Amino acid sequence: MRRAVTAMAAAGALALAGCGSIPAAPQALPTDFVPTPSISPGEGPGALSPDGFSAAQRMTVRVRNVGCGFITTGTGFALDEHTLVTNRHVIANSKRLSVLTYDGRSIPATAASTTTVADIAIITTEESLGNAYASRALEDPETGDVITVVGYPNGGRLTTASGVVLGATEDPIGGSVGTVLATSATVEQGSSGSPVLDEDGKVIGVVYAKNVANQSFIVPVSTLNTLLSEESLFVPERSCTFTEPPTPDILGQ
Amino acid sequence: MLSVDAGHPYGEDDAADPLVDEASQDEGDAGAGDADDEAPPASSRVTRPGRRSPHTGAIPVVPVGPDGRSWTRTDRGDDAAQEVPAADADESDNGPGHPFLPLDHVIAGPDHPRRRRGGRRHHAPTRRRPVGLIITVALLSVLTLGASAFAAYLWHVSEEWRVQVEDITDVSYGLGADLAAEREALVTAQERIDLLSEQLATSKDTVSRLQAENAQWGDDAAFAQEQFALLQQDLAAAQTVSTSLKRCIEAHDQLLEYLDQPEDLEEGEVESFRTSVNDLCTQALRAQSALAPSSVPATTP
Repeated sequence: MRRAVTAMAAAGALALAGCGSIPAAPQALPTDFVPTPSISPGEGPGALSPDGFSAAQRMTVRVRNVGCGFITTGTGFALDEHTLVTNRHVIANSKRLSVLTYDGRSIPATAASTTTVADIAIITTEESLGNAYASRALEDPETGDVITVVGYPNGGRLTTASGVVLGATEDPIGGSVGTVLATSATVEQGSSGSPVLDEDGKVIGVVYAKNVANQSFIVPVSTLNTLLSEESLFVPERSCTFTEPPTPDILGQ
Repeated sequence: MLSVDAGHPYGEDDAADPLVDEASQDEGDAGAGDADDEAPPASSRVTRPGRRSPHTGAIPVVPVGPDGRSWTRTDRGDDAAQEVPAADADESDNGPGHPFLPLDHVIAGPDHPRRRRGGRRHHAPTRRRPVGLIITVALLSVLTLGASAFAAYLWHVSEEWRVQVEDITDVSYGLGADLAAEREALVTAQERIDLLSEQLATSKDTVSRLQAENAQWGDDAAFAQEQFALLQQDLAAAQTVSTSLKRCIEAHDQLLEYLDQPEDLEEGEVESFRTSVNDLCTQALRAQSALAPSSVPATTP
């Protein structure tokens, strides 16, 4: 009898223990679920503008230097809405400067300043350059890094060229202080002032020269950052009062 | 003679434990000789009416009091293994007094309390109450009720799950239909995207081409503007030269008149006028010579 009672008690305890895993009734199905929209194609890095041009293309402008008896063209890129960077030799001996955006807008320059430290010049405009600006890298690229050059070679269409950094070297023209970077990107006359971008789309230099071996030379971004942080290194560029042909060994067309 | 364990009045455990059964059997046989002298009256035989052991197949034994009703032993514990008073041998031979009492289930023994007290009963005959059965029935009832409630709960839960599964199935079919429609729309949209991408690429190429043409036209315009300015300068210079040459010609005409009528002037005055005319014409010719190179543009875009 005791065994039977014990067995029944054990069965009851077992049944009660099973209550711990008793299945519960289902909960009501959620009705307030709102899916999260994915990122828009117009957002994020590398996003295209509504007209299909990348930010690097939109920030790159074509510079026209109407000098005293000559006309040259070069390239520049916007730092902000009213400021752009180009080469000093692109705006040298100018009587009138104007920039042309990727979509064909012609914007007159209101002032220009240059520095003797490097082949760098700053142009300001009263009209807006657009809404795409350069994002500068903090450090120079390493040898072997892939680069992209966006510019207007030969004063023609907006063109993108790729290459790699070949290494640091002395300025082959002698117009810059310190070293410059040699790259394998092919550039032409009119590419002077073109922004050199890394794989993240950040500016790592400014094209200013080439040699007969089709190697291009760029002012490194470290020099550019130093110059932009020291406004005293720039002096206003005077308009030309006489005709002087452009230097033949630079890329200004 | 058989005996019944006091802790197991119904003998179930005896049936399960043959050793106890055999020991009781031997012990009963040993005390059979005293059964004639000290056997309790037949009315006090212990029997189990109406119950059959499921293990032995024998008829269960229920203690029966003098009034013929069953009774329960109260001297459990140490006396549990004691034998109850044996039945009369004659009665054992002749069969049980009770219709359900077999001979081999008559309880008797020399150590039974009633036997020790000279066969006189000191306990009031009581009917054995099936406490275990009551507890068992109660437990079974509780368990049955609990199991029923639990089964009802499970059925309810299962029913809710079934309903939800049906809802989810309906929703799934709806989502599947929506997904199929969205996929179809996606394919259509992708085709449109491809077409628009081609159009965008074409438009972008057109924009670049037009921008380049615009830039070139701007360069040409700037060049023409510069050329026009230079031509204006040349024109101004040419006008100056023209004026100078005109004055030179006029001076020469005046000089010819003077030479035709030399008597009207002094000899030195004609010679002085001739020198002035020559200087004027020389400057005009020089300005004319300097006019041509400036009209050539220095640079072409």
